[in-house]
Amino acid sequence: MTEIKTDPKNTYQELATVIVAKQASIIGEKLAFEKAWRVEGVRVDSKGRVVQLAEPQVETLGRLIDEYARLSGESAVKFSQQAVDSILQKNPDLPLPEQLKKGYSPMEHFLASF
Amino acid sequence: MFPSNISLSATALFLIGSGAWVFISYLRSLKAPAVGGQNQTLRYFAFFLLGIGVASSIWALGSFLVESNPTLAGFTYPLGLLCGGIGLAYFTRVGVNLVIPRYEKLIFWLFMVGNILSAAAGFIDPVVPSRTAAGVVVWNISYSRGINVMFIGAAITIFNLALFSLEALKVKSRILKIRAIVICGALIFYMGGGLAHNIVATPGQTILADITTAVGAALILIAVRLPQLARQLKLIKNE
Repeated sequence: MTEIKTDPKNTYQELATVIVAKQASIIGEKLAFEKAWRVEGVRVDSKGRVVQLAEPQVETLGRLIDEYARLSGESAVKFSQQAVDSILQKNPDLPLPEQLKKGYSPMEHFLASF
Repeated sequence: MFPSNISLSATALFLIGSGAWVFISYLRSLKAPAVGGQNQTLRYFAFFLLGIGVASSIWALGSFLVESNPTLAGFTYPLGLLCGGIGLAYFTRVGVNLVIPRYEKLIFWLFMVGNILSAAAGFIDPVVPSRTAAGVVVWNISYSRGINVMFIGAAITIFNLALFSLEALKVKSRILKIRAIVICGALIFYMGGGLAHNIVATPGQTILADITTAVGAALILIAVRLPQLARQLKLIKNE
């Protein structure tokens, strides 16, 4: 199997990779990778590194978190926030999906959407 | 127009209007997808409102048919229960999706199958509604059936309210917290009044149940339009 290297300049791929890794440590590699493969626009190699995120990358990253949230709810969002924390400290102005913003609540997001 | 026809029609209009508004919001969110999704929750909420809206419309239609065709009017009772039950199953999906998404499909389909089976029983032995001299439609639901529907409906409503309130407690925005509280209040009134129709025995009790249901539906409309109303009344600046 040809291994594709993660583009080190792509911060969104980095964020997605650490989210997949965090989920792998919680729900197991097999399920975490399977979930990521299901997300349209996300390509993950056999080691769990996200090698491609379709544009717009913010939305694709949001869909990846949603996929994990479908399995384990709000805890998946919280673990994703924890996983990306150090990367975001280096990139404070990076546009983010709603779930990665501070103080995100799924209920608040729902109630604000109509 | 008779009192029952007015209250049932008003209830139906409030709910269909609310459901249409939320469904349009859902369609808009598809064109400009909200970052991070959660659109499915909005879709479930729209289906809930449209489900109970269609149920109320069917019962309103039944109230118009009581004199001309009471047998046909009787069939609107289980048909409305079926549509309302589908709507309620979608509301369950909203709460479960937010709190325990892993069980969303399982719980949803359990509720759907239960709802279809209980509605089917209603078609086998339909009620024959009548109108009192005061113009109130009395559905003549047997005591045992009424009690069954009442308890099952109350249990599902309490389950939904518990899930919804649990998540609503975490909301920080003032206007959204009020919106969540109004939705919970609306559900208590609508379901309370709606389920009471299954056990009421007198025209007075029926009118009270009709009014309670209509108040619940009006509260849902208020909850759905709350940010716009608050802005118009200048209660919020830019939340």
